[in-house]
Amino acid sequence: MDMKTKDIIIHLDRVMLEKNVSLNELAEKVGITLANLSILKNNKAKAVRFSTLAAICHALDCQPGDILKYSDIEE
Amino acid sequence: MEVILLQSSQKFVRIMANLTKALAVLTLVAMSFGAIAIVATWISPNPIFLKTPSEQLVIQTPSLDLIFKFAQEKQPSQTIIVSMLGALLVAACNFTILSQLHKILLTVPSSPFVPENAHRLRIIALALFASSFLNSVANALSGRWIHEMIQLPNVEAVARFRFDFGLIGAGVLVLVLAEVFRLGVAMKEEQDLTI
Repeated sequence: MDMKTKDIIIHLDRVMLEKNVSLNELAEKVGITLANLSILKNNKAKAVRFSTLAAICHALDCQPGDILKYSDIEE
Repeated sequence: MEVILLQSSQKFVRIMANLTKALAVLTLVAMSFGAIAIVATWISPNPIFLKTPSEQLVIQTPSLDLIFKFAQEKQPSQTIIVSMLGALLVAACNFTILSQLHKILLTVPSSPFVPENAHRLRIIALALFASSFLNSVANALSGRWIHEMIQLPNVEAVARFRFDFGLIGAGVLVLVLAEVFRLGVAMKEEQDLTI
C-alpha cells in the first residue's frame, strides 16, 4: 500500500532538462561522483551540504528553490 | 610502515576468520558426538562410556587428584542425561557465538559497518547470557550426579549451584558494544547519504 507523507523532494531532472545539462556533465561541474548525483536525483539522499547545493545552483544557474520542493512523497 | 601494519592486520583478520570457522566446525562435530552419547545413555541402562576401567571416579583439583573407588556399582540416574543436555546446549551457544563472529570477521575487509553486524553482536551477547545460565545448571547437575555416585563414610558431598558472573559481564559488555555499533552504523548511513 502506498503511503503519502510530506517531505523535501528534489526536482533535479526537470532543471537539468531545462538547462540541457547531462548527468555526467553536472557531476563533473559540481565535483561529485555520478553515484552520489544519482542518489540526489532519485530522492534517496538524507541531507545535502550547502557547498553541494551552491555548486549545483552555480552549475545550473538557478536558485535552491528551483531544485528543492516541500511536497508529497510516495513511500 | 603503515602499509606493513595494514597488511599484517588484514592477515590477522583472515587468520581469525579461518580459526573461528574451524572452531565452529569442531564444536558442531563435538555436539554430534554429544547428541549420540545422550541418546545412547537414554537407551542403554548401563552405558559403557560412563564407566571407568577400574570403577573409579577422579576429581581433579589443581594440586590434588581425588580418586574414589565405588563400593558398589551404581546406575547413573537421569541427572547425568539432563546434565549432558545442558552441556550440549552450552556447546550450541558456543557454536552460535563462533559462527556469528566468523560472519562478522568476513565483513571486516570490505565494510564492517552494516546493520547486520550490530544484530550479530546482539545475538552473541544473548548466547553469552544463555551460555552462562546453562553452564551453571549443567555444572550443578553434574555435581549432583557425582554426589549420587559417591557415598563414603564420614564424608559429606554438597552439590552447589554457582552462577557464572564472568560470562554475564562479557554478555553485558557485548550488548553495550552492539548498541554503540548500531548507532555508529546509523550515523555512517546518514553520512553516506549526505551529498
